[in-house]
Amino acid sequence: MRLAPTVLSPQEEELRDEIREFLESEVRTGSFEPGLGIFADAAPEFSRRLARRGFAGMTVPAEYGGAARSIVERFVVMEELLAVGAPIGAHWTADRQIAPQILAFGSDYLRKRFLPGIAQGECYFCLGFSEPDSGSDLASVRTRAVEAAGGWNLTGRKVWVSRAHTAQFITVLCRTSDEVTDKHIGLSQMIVPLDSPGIEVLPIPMLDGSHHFNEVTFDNVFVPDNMVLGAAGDGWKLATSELTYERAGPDRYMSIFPLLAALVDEDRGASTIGAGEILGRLFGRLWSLRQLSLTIARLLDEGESPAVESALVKDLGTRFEQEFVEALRQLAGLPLRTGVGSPFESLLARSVLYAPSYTIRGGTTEILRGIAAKGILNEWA
Amino acid sequence: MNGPESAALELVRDILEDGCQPSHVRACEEGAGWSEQVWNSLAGSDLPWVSVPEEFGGAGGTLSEALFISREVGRYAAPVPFVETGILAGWLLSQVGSTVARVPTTVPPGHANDTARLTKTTSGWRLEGVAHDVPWAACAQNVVALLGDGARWHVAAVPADRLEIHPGRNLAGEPRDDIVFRGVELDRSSVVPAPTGVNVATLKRRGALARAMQMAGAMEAVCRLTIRYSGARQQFGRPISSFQAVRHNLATVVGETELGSMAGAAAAAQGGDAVSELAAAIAKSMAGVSADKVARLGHQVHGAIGMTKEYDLQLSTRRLWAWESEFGSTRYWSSRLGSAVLGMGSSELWDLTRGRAQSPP
Repeated sequence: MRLAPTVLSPQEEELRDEIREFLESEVRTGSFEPGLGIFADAAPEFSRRLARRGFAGMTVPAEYGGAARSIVERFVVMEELLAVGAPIGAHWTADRQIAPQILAFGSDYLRKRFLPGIAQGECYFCLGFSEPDSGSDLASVRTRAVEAAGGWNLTGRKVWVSRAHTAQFITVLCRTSDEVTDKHIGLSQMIVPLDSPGIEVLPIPMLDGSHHFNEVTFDNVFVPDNMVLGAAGDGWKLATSELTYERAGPDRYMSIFPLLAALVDEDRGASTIGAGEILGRLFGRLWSLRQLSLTIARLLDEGESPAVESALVKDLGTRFEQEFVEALRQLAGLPLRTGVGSPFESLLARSVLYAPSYTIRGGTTEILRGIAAKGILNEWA
Repeated sequence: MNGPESAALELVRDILEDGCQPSHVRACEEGAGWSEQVWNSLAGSDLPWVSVPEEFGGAGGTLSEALFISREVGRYAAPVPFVETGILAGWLLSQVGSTVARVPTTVPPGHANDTARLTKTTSGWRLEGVAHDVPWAACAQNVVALLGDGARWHVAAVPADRLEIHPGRNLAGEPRDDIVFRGVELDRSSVVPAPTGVNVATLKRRGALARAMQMAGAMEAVCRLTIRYSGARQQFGRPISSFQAVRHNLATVVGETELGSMAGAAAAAQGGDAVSELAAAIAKSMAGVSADKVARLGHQVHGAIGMTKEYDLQLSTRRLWAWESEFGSTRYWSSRLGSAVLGMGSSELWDLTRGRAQSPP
């Protein structure tokens, strides 16, 4: 076995009491409706309140205004937020991926400019990766940055950009050099303010009409040199390190927890024959996925880079979420409508609509399995 | 990262790597069904009695160690009553203050159709009835049984030569024998009332966790064999591991093995001598669900050769299929887990998810 079980220390559990206290008061005041993991609402005021209690930018060092916490400590807080479906949408991307990236690869300027705002829950990012012709084959992106005086001129189009409409900044994977033998060379990652001249953000409505995704077009947008993350040409390295980092977190299996919570609170399914066996299997899986994810968080804190394990856990987690939704849909046997019915029915309806995306976003099942297999064969064959 | 390491675990691996290769496992299956050789090697280092306190004749050590050793026993398909002797029989005996005998021992799991029963006599007890599918009964020298007299549970120790054994085998060719107790007379000292906490349910969950660990080992064996095969087998001028569909299956085999093994490892690593109902339920349910996928996909990658007797895959997959139903099936444990889940509120459920629930003993 590659992943050994780990337990949380009393200190790590203390953090849980703190976040729970915060969430209890938020739930009491009815400040939000439970959302589904990464599809949860964006609520800047919530993000700011969360940050004031030290629960945003948790792994950001104290010198930049962060709480200087470990990845495991962040895990504890994240899973509590996800368990209640808290509206983390606004600051989620910045907190989960951008802060660690800027810390690892950003210049002093970028760290000073962005980390404090991320730690305050006020600085929101979105990710410019996919393009109409570049999804799984990310290295084939055509958005191009051409050298200009003091920086670059960026032209291109990004799609499926989550929350571009609520974020202030976008990180853009673009090509900065065509003189390459391998398409993974000559890519760069740049940070661009979304209010820059030449940028247009258009919504791409989801199949239920909701607004998460956007198309972002760049028409000769000037990006100064100091907004390049890492060095020019580091783009692929940054993209792949980012993916390892965020791949196996609790958001990969906890999206369905508010739905499960509603199921038990409303006593749904208790009278359906066979429901117990089905739920028992699913619950065991949830429990075990959490253990795997926690172990990976520990490994990351220890400086390891468990790329294969992360890919496997994301694959298992996202497939689990889909199976969970499918199973509950069959158990419920109801016509589903969003926005009406009990919390369980409403959450189930939304889950059914969004479930296909779990195994697509952030790396499809097919790509993840390919990555995992490659690593496994290198090691074991 | 392979979980808690101990000197005992290292020793077990060495013994099994040396003396329990697939050819030996096959030979045992064709013969008496067990390996006296492997048993003697393990017994020679007191290993079957790890977790049994020294004061009761055991080797000391923890249940945790014994469970991780069980995983190795599963990995190597070692045909010996390791789990039954220490983790089960040794536990029953030490709980009633009796000393273990340093011999291969077994414990009737207690099936729904068992009729074995104790009746009090003037000089002691009489044992009547049938215990079905008792692991390794035909090769055991001692049988330690949890038996009822209609009022309460007792632990009874009976030398095997006093018993009528009807041999049988499970799907993996391991001895699972029926024991017919025809008026076996036992003196008072051989039968001790069981304390609270020692009953059919607690025995079952202990056995379930041990089998879950054995299954984790067997899943790992399937993984390794499958990965190796996929790299070696060539078709269309290249290794089959170069095909995307096969790669996806490899990723699933490894992923499911990790997932299916984690709950057992977590319960084993917890320490202490008690096994909670919920811990056993999650471990055995998960092992069962994942084992089905691992076995199926392991066979899929291997193609026809994996379906043969002569190739080693079946030594592990038949064990996975057999152990799935021992000490409670996937269905049994999943249902118990699910009933518990359905009976909770969301707050309690979240506590359980993060391993904080106190389940009743």
